[in-house]
Order: sequence, then structure tokens, then C-alpha cells
Amino acid sequence: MRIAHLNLVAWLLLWPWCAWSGLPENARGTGEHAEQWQPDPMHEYWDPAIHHRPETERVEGVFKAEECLECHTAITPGIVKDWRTSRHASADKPVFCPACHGEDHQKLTFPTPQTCGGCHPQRLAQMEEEKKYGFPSHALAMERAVDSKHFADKPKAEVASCLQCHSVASKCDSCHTRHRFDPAEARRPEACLTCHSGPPHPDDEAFFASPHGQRYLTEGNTWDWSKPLRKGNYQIPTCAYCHMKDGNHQVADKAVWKFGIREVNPKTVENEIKRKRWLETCADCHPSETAQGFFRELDAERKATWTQLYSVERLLKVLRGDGLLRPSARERPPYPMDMMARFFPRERIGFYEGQASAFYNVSAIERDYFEMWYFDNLGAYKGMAHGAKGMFQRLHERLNADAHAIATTAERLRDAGKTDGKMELHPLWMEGEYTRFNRDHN
Amino acid sequence: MATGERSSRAVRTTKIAMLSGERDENNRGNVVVWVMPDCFPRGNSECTAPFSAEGDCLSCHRERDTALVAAWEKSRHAQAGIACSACHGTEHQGSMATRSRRNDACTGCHQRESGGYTLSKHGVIATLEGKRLDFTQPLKEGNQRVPTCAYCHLHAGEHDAGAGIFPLVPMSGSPAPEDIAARTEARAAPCRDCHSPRFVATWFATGDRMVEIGRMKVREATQAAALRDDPETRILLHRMRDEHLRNVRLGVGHQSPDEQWWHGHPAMDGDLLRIKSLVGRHLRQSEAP
Repeated sequence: MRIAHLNLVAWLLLWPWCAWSGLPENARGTGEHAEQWQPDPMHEYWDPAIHHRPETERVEGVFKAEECLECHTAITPGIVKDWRTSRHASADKPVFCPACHGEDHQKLTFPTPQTCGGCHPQRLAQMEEEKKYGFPSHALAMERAVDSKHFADKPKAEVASCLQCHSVASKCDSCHTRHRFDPAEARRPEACLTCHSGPPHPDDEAFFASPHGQRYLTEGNTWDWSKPLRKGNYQIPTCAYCHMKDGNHQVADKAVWKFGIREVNPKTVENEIKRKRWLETCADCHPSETAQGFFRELDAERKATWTQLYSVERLLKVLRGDGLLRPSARERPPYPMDMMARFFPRERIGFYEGQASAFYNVSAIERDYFEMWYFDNLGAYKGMAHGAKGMFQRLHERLNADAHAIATTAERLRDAGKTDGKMELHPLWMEGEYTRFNRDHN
Repeated sequence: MATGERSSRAVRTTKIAMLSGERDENNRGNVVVWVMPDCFPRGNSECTAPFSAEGDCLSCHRERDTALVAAWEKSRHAQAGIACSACHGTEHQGSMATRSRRNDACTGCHQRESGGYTLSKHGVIATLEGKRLDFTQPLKEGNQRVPTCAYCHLHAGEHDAGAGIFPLVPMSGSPAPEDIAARTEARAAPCRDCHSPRFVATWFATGDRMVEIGRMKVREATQAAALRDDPETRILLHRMRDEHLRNVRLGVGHQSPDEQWWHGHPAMDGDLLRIKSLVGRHLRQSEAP
């Protein structure tokens, strides 16, 4: 009988015990692990459709149209002034506060995409359409965030940072900031950068270092951003020009390489269709031959990078096989949200083993590989895809350095395995203030 | 007025102590040098002579804006010798306040602190609407669409820069300051110009918890590092506390998810596990035959 079959038998025998043990009674999260986590109070602002609690203490009464402004001009003058300069305020039939927030002060709501979709149905439909392309996409961002094992596992105040960006799925003001909601603002690259920055997705660095971005930096301030993002309106493309072509509010219909987090085959029928959409986008300015050459380069870069990543992955898997990863999976807190890991602990290596959640409570060499894959590989992809040659070269140098450093560490672990003692590392890794807190407060 | 006259009046009317480390009669260090500007005692609007960086300003403004100058004297800026002209410039032509309200009055020195802000929604809008934001208006009551540095840290002209903004619990983990209620209020006041009191209170509570969880990681790492005192662990611990935990705090304060997360918590996770890996290896080596 194969090991997998034994695992299955063990699981069938043990599941009643697992179901009985240790789950928080009042867990009321959402998604795949809903039973195992409770939202932080801030969650209501990031996913109002599900978690918002209406105000029940202060003001009572029903307020219509401009009645809200009478108080809020004094209470929150900033948002009232902001709204007054918006198109909502200057429309023939102004869109007053209750249109989005409701009239009863005890039952106020925060607008969701569905609220905005009441007047902007086409935009909502475009965003909803993203879901059929899967993740990464804006529309599925919140769902995927709360479904990730590390989100469910970690203390909710810590991962509150995740929701601020992943709320792009549950509110429209990530790009159209309240209360002006100005499309001219959302068209500019800076509108995307609050979230599209940082080690795994340095889109800011990639775009601004590219010839497109360089041109934007020197001339962008003089352009008329009230024009739609269409062919001929702008000399260079910004983020939204390509990723939301012709103002189409969906960013997933051209996503071939999926952020670079796993290897894909760019030649599938689906990806060929997506590629064709890219070529049409580039064709606003570039001859087809140029764009095709560029995508050939991109695919070759990805192929080479994944060959390199897999070779490091194999190295780590051999170390795992030889029991040289310390702490071993038995000596560290169990892999989050994985009951099986309590009985058959196993170090998670590579995308298909869920490495995205293995950036904490792992040995240093595993973290090194996590950083190589998640930071340097993704950065190299972003640099290449945005045509930032210098950045892509720099990150490839880093990938080479990572591969070399990990190989050196692996050698050292192999040598140490022969000479070092066999001491259990359990207490060092299972105890500690944060580790205990994390165990008790997910 | 001849230069000689100006100098002699300056000497006559000032007590020069700044930069020499000398302390005044109230035992305050860094008393700023001030000399009479050429146009003194004519009115403010006619006073167009450049003011020296040492702060001619106080000769008039100590009387005209007593509370403001007193607040500044209490500030960290005054302690560090940062006087009026550092933010307001030296040209007394009606643009001194306007100039100091802009972000670039601060970012020259506070580059490290401003990174997360620039990426935040507040910072993005400030960048995009730079020209449209009206800085001739005082920094209060939502006069500007988004808060700039001074909007929060010198809210409504409070010249004790950041009096209420500094963290409620110091980095070192020492007890919270006595005036914690006043600090909480001062910290929340600028936000409430635009955001609901409930949103502000909820975010501050979550933000404080987010930072506290960071401190837990540092304490756990410090405890582990005590088992192996060597430069490598010390460097990691230093980076964890002074760089990555600081990023979490700056990210919380400046509303930058990128600072809170990628430059903050997961970076600290990496520091913690690397410290533990080093310690674990050391323990096994010391156990080796």
C-alpha cells in the first residue's frame, strides 16, 4: 500500500477527533477557513458588505439629501469639501450622502461595488467578469486574502495590513478615492502604487524605470488627465492604459504569467487569446513585430528563471529527504490550517506545496528560497514585463547570488549534519512570546 | 542701516548660546541666536529683508506669537537646533507660512519617514494634486484635501512638532507616558477633520495592536538571541528592532500597507527565524562531540 493510501486511512480514522479538538467556538470569519478565525474590528471598513456593523450609539434620525451636510460640514469638514468638488455634487441631480450611505443614521452603510454599480452597472459588470479569469485579479483579491492559510493563522491585527490592499475587491475607493471619486486621479500611475509596491510586486519601480515611466515622470504633469485612456489621447501608456484598456474595469483578461508566482505555459489556447489582447494593446503605438519580439523575450526570461528556481527547489527537497532541514517540521509550529501536518509534518517547499504561507516558522534556508522566489523572481518578472532593463538585470544578478548562497548554505548544512549534535530544537521554536500569542490568537 | 550698526544692536539685544551648548537661565539648551533685521521695527508686511538662518525671527515673534514660540521651544526641533528658517525660509514676503505647510518643507530632513507616506493614499493625492492644494489656508478643518506632514504633526499651527503624534508606547517597551489620554486625543484630532471618530478610534486600536505584535516578535527574538551573543545575531536583532519594527510603526502612522507588511511584519518574521536558526545551530554545535 502506498504512503498516500496509509495517510488516507489514518485521516479517516482520526477525523472525528480532529473535528472535536481545538477550534475556536465563536469563529465567524469568512471563506475557506471561516470556522478558524475571527475578524479584527477594522475588518468592517475593508469588507463592509460582510463585516460592517451599523452605528448604534450616537445620532438617531432619518436624514435626506442635503440634511446630512448641515452637521457634517462642522463634524467632518474635509469630506464635505471634497464631495462638493466632485461630479456627484455638480450633477444636475446631485448624488447626496444617503444615496450611498442610507438615510437612517442607525443603519448607515458603507458603499460596496454593488452600491456604486447601481448607477455604474457597466463598470461593476466588467469587474465581476474578472472572476472568470481567476486570481490574480481585483475582484477576487479579498476572497483569496482571507482564504490564504497565513491570513487565517496569524493574529488578525497583524494581517490587517493585508486587507487594506485586498479591499480593492470590496470597495471602489481604492482607486477612486473618496469623496471626489475623480477618474482623472485613477488614470495616473500613482493611484495604483499604494498597493502595487514593495518586494513581491515592485510595479512602481518597474514602471518608473521603464522608458514609458521615464516619459511620464518628465511630462506627465502637463497632460490632460480628464481624457479617457484611449488610443491617441496619451503619448505613453500608464498602468491603467494597458491593464484596463479603454477604461475596461478589469485587469485579469490579459494576465498570462500570473504575477510570475508559478510557471505557466504561455502557449495554451487561453494564453494565446490573452497574448493577442496584449498585442492589440501594444499596437496602439508599436508595430506588431516589435511587440511580438518583446513577448518572446519575456517568455524566454521566464523559462530561464523557472529553470533556475526549480534547480534550487530540488536542492532543498534533497535536504528535506536527508533530514537536514532544522528545525524539522516536527520541531516547529504546525503548518497553518493543516490538520494533516499535526500527524504527518512535512516542510513545504515550492509553489505547489503552499510555500506562500511558509515565510515564517521555517528554517533560514527555506526562508532564503522563499525570498528568492517571492521577492527576486517576482521583481525580475515585473522589471522584464514593464521593459525596465536595468531593474531586470539587477534582479537577475540577485537571483544568481541567491542560488549561489543557498547552494553554499546547503553544503554547510550537509557538513554540519555530520558533526553537530542531534539536540531537539523543539523548545526554541515552539515557545516564545509571539509564537504563543500566534497560537492562541488567530 | 549699516552692517556695523546692525551687528552692534544684535550683540546688545541677544544672548548667544546656540550651538555652543550654553544653557539659558531656565536651563534650556540651544537658545537660538537672533539679531534685529534691517527693517525693524517697521510692520511685518514691509519687512522684506532676508532673515538669517540663525533666527532673527524671534525678536518680533516672541512677542507677537508668544504661545507659538513657547510651543516650538518645547519641541524636539528646538532641542535639535531646528529654528524658524529651516521650514519657513528666510524671505519675509508673505509666503513663509505657505512654504512651511508643504511636504517638501519636511522631507529634506525626514526622507526616511516620508517614504511610507508618499505611497499612502494621502501621499499619492498630495503628489497628484500638489498644485491644487491651497497652502495659503491654515492646516485645519479639511482646508486641504489630504493631510500633508504638517497637517497632522503641527495640526492647527501647533509648533511643538508632533507633540501628540509620537507613539503612545515608546519603542523600548518602557511604561506608557503619563499624558497618554492627551496624546491619544491630539493624535486623533487631525484625522477627525475627515474621518468619523469611530473609524479613527478603531484604526488606532488596531494599529497599536499591530505595533505591539511587532514588539512581541522583538522580545521573542531578544530572548532567543541571549543564548548566542555574537555579531551576526546582534546585527539581525538590531535590524529587526530599528528598521523593520520601525517600518511597522511608520506604516501604521502613515497608512501605508506596504510599510506595515512587506517592509514590516514578514521582514520581522524573517529576522526572528534567522536568529533562531543561528541559535539552534550554535546549540547543536556546542553539543557536538
